[in-house]
Amino acid sequence: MGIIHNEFHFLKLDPQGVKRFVADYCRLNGLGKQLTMNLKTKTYRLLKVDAEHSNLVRILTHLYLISTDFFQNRMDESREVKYLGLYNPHKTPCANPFSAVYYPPAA
Amino acid sequence: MKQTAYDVIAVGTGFATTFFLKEYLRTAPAKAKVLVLERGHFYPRAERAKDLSGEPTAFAKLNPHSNDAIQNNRPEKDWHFSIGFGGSSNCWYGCTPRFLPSDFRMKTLYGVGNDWPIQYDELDPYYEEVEDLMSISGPAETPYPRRKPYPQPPHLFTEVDKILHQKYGKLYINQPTARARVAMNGRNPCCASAVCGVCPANAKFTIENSNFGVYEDPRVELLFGAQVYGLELVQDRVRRVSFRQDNHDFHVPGEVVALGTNALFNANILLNSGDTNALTGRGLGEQLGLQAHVYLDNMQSLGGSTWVNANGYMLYDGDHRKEYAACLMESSNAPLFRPESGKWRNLVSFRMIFADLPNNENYVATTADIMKPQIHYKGPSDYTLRGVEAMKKRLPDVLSCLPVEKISYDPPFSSEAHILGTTRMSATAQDGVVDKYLRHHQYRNLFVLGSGSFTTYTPANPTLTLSALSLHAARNTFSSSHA
Repeated sequence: MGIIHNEFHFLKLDPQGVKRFVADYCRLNGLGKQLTMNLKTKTYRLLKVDAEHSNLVRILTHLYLISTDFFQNRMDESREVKYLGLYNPHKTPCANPFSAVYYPPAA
Repeated sequence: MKQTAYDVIAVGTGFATTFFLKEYLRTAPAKAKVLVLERGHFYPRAERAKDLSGEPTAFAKLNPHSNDAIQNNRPEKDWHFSIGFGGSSNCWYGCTPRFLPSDFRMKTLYGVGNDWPIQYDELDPYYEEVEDLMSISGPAETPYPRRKPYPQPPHLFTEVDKILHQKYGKLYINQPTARARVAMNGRNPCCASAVCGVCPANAKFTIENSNFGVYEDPRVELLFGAQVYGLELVQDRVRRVSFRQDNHDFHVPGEVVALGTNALFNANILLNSGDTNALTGRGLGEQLGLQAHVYLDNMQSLGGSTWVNANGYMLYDGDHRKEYAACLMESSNAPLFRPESGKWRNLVSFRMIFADLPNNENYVATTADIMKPQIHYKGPSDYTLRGVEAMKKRLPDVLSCLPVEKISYDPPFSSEAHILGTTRMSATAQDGVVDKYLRHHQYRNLFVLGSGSFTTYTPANPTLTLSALSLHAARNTFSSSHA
């Protein structure tokens, strides 16, 4: 959770949503992998390693933000960012927030 | 098996075999006997999507994973394919550009590789037919000659694509693709979910949704779980096909045999069978791909109706191919973003795909397990690596019409999922394994289908071309003989 808050410190993240995302992510990846992830993420947070230098951080932060309503709200940084559920295009097709579905061509 | 012998025995159920059989059946007699041997099982797209959604499905464990089917001497280099009914139509991403005419004449034009024994003009009508059968979406103008419009309208550009198209015209085009633009023939329109390997919207063409009726034809007997491992070769002909099913071995006679597994297993079967052509199994390769992320100043990349909206040919053709590899650009519409305030989508990402040249030091060999080929691959050629370096020097100028802040490059992908070579096409047996009709130079009732037959490796995706080659092979072999 610290990584997400660190990376997106300039956004208004719904704290409960971040917790639910982390819980969902852990469930998806299984307990064993969770232990490894905890170790790595604590280390990265302590070292203040940002997304530029960490693939794991990049994956977590990307997945978090795309699982929220941030992009559906047209990247409005003044609004609170609410977690919607883990982004999974196989479960919810047509959710690419940058596609013509959401940015249709001008009439 | 219902018969003791067959007119045609086909191995595999992917693109190569399916288009070959579709043409064969078009003119075959009503009593023709066709046996199709598929190593894997049917795993429906809807069930694959369930698995990827995290839902349980009984189908998930039916087919072996591709990595378990080969012995890879260099595991960091992935060879990506799909085992099961429909072959790699279950994992492809639906990109269907044609080759350029120059791709078939590398030796004559650029002094590298070899010329194909078939040229663009001869393949053109078959390209057109495959495009109709797959309902390809594509633009009005292309860098390769075409005689009529694509069956489906083009996908929408992003705002960045529009700028590049305005500058480069037919060198920067809406990607020709089997990801439907409009609903047609049981497929839904693509909505850029960008997980095309298993399309959640059923927009991408697959053997499963093709409605070809090949495997439902009453003349066709399809066996699942039947892995072919060898051919009985007698006096320059294939007499029988050997396969294993449920731990029993079978040896079935066929008048004509068509191998349509992939470049790895086609070669393994031939080598197991005693094929002595010096080039069988040799020249294994594929393109090299890497992602280029272009950070834009005060410009967003938005819109676009599919996963890859555009192909860029600005670095593809020309005299530079004498020195270094051609490069095809794919404009990605995956949901990437910059984690920077106010600049979230000030980013466009291109997959840069490089040609390679066949290298006989990359090859497939047999192992003690007759079912499992061994892969020997040293890596891409210097020709390709020079192409990468040249691209990095030239790309800033190519993109000078955009407000570029910087360009960053990811390391190359471990696979482009296009397995090429091992049974290359040639005019003579000294230079290759099969002729332009995909018939083995020595065993004249044996067809070796698929991208293993490619003489050289262009940056363009292989599926449209290998499908057209299958149609071409079957039509030129069977239409006259049936008549």
